[in-house]
Amino acid sequence: MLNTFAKIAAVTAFALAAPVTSALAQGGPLRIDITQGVIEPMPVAIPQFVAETASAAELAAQLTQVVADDLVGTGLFREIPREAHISRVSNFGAPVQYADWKAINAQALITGAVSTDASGRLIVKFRLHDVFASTEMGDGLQFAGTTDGWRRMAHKVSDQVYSRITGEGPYFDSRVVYVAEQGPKDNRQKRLAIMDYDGANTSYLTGGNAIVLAPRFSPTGDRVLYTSYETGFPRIYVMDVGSATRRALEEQPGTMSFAPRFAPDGNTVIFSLTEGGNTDIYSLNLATGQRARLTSAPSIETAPSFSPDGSRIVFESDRSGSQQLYIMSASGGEPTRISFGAGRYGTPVWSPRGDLVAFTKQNKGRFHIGVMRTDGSEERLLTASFLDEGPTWAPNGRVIMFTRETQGAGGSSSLYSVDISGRNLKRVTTPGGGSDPAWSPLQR
Amino acid sequence: MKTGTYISGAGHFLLICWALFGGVFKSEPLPIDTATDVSLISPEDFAQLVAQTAENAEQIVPQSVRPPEVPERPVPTPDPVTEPDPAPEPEPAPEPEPVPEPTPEPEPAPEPEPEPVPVQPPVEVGSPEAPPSDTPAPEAAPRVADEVVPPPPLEAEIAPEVAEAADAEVASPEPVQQETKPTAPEAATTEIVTEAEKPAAGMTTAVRPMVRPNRPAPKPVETAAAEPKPEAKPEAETRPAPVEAPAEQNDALAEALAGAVAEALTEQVAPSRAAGPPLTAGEKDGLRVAVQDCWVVDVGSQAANVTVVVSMDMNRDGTVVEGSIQMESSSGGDGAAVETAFQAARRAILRCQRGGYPLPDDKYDHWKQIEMNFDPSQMRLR
Amino acid sequence: MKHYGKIALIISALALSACAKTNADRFGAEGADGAYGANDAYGANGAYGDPSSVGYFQQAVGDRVLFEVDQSTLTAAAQSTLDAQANWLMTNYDYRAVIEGHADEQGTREYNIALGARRATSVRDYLIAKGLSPARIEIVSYGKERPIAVCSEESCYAQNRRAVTVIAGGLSS
Repeated sequence: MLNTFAKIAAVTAFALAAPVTSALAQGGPLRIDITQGVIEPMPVAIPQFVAETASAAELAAQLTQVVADDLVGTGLFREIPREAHISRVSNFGAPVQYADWKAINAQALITGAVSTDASGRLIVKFRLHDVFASTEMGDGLQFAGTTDGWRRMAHKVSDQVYSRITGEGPYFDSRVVYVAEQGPKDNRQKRLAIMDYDGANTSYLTGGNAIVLAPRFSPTGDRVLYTSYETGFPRIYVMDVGSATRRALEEQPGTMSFAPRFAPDGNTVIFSLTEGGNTDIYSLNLATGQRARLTSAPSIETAPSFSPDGSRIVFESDRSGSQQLYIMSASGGEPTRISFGAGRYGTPVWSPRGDLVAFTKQNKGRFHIGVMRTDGSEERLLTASFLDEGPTWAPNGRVIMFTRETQGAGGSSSLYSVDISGRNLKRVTTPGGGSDPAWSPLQR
Repeated sequence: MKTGTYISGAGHFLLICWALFGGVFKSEPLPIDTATDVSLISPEDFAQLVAQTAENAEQIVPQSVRPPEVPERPVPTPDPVTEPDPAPEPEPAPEPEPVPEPTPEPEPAPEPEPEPVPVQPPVEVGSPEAPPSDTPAPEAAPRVADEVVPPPPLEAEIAPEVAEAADAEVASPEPVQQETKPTAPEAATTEIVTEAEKPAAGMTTAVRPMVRPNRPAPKPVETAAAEPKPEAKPEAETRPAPVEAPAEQNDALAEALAGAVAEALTEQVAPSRAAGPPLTAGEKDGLRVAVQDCWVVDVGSQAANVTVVVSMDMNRDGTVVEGSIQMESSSGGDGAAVETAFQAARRAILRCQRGGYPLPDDKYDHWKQIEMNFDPSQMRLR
Repeated sequence: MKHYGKIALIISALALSACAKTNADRFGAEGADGAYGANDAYGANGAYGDPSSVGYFQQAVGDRVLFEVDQSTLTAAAQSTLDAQANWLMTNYDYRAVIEGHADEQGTREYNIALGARRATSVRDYLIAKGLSPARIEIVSYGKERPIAVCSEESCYAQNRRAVTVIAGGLSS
């Protein structure tokens, strides 16, 4: 009897536990886990911006085209052709018929208007709409500026659209400084060139009678550091972009300097100095002229790059017997190696987001552009070719531009860009050949 | 004296013999790759199968007792389930060989069933990693996988996909189908292969993704996988069974217990409420797949690190109540990234609702509020 | 008596092998110095025949040495060329030298500049060890910027991995 009762009690307790838990699980909303999505460009509709004044008609068309090119060029958007649009936007202020845009499967809609005011200034307005939510995404904005700056305004519009939809930082309103190349491989003419990130508005900063290499922007984009052979020896120079005036930073005889980069404070320059055949990393205070030696090893130390907070430097060194990447404090000290894969690693550049380092890797006769975390983990290769080198980051840390050179006697260099996911690899159009690109910060 | 010598001699002799020949009698565990592949069939087929179980029982039971097959099953299944992303390719490779071996024997009768399983081929189309494991499946047929209870941990691994995993253990006495989800539908068909042609998984075929997974495929497959489970539960109630037995001895207690047990089984037991039974895993999967189709993930963005839980209210026709989509919680990422992830989730829900999601009207109470967890971690870059 | 034949064989074999070695050396050195790039030996640098002319230095002495991949150490062939260069420079003490270090294109830009610098320094150090005054020798590195052979194969790469001794100064300047 007791036995039976005990059994029943035990079983009751057990059975009662079950309904309690299952009742708990049963109430409340339905829960679904979504773990798989699709990777595809988002269809957006970009009807031509309305020209609110007659004089702005041509600009309106061009502006719209630049906005579309910016977005489609990221590989994340797809433009729905105008012929497919059901509604026409002829009045910037008129309410949007979302149903018409839903019908053509546009997920986002950009409406805009362009006008010139009495003083000749250009006004550009836009609104971004989330079609399926039938509402605007963020506020409409208006930009005003000179007519000559219309491209920058178009980039500002696409930056707004891009960052609102993707959540990433903007990067279209930026420039790239690079080395424009001409001529055969054994007699190449090189000169510094600067252009909008999309290839427009190219201008030249040096004459081409001396080899110039690896330019880098200052944190505000107003100056450029580079290496030039104009004295017959590689030396580092700083140039003011606006006036194209330059001055040499290192003139010690018997030495060579190259690979100069700015610190985030815009006042310190780190570079490589070769003395007695040995190359080490030094820093130079532009204001005081004071130099400091950051590495002191019989190996080659070069291609340094600052972290965005200015506290650390990543550079390449062959102290282990082959080119590898190292990180050390910005004031010098013991470096820590971060690259450990097969092959050689060089030209490290710290992402503006601070999370990754991009680099060039050589392995088994191939070159790759890759990224890794700052502790060396999660190494991913983004490209592979005969010769890829010298990555540079877009201001939002999402896109990388680099040099690609083709092989053989007729080989030439061009600029390429790739998304950090490895997708959307494409050539950046330059008038001639190009190498050593450096991306400016976002322009204000 | 002599006796002692004899004993000692015999002892030594036996020792030596054991040392030399003892190993001969060990039975080696069978090679892992002789795995019984488990594939999926549609619910109708399963229903048919269950109906026929009684007839086929005699053919099945003896074979299921086969010890060799027991170890095989547990081993391979964890692999496809737990490692969908890393190296999915190697797993399918070994499976095709072993599958034909054990399966022809156990299921001579059920073999005709798999034919109505056209779901398998579509799965192959969508995903490079999938096909090998699925191709032999139709022949392997209804894996009446076993009379032997698979170890609970195994079930736990499969659990993430099916909420009712906890009940799987009840399978013991009955010939219950044990479904193992093939990796294919869930695995990364959108694995990104960069130009470097060195995906972490070491794929040899440089497939450029950006391929939408073949939607129709996973849906029926998972429906098949999921539905048998809930249907199996009513049949295999070993736990409630002992409960009911002692209850008989005490009526009052029995009623209380029966009531409690009935509550416990409400999920499976038919209509005790006006709300109708909760959604089957298959119906949930239908909703999930429908939303997945429209969920665009920007794998290079910071939002790809963010998981958001989105809640919404539904109208009876399966459409979302206007303005009811809200973010409940998020993890990973900050500010803009979270907002972007939420917007993408919201867009996915709104775009794919079309005329209304395919949810059963009679179970409306169960889905009038939905919470969706959007987790892109499986799609992130490696 | 019967041993003489064998001894004769052995001696002749030794003699012949010695000859072969010398021949190979000479060809090796000339092969390395074969390509002259932009330097025109017969132009302003004086006639080939004048042993104190720069032309003579470039053609007969050999103004360049080659290196192995990624290396800056001097091979035996390089050392013998440099011996000859040192001799010439000691004799023609009016001249200064600039050692140009170069690298092939199989590397990144900055590293190759540093590598070229190492190679030039190897040459400079060797010449100084031979007795030349350090004040007469400068180094510069061009990295991979000035290849003389443009095919993308080892045959061209080998030619590009070089240190060239450029003579400057002297009576003619």
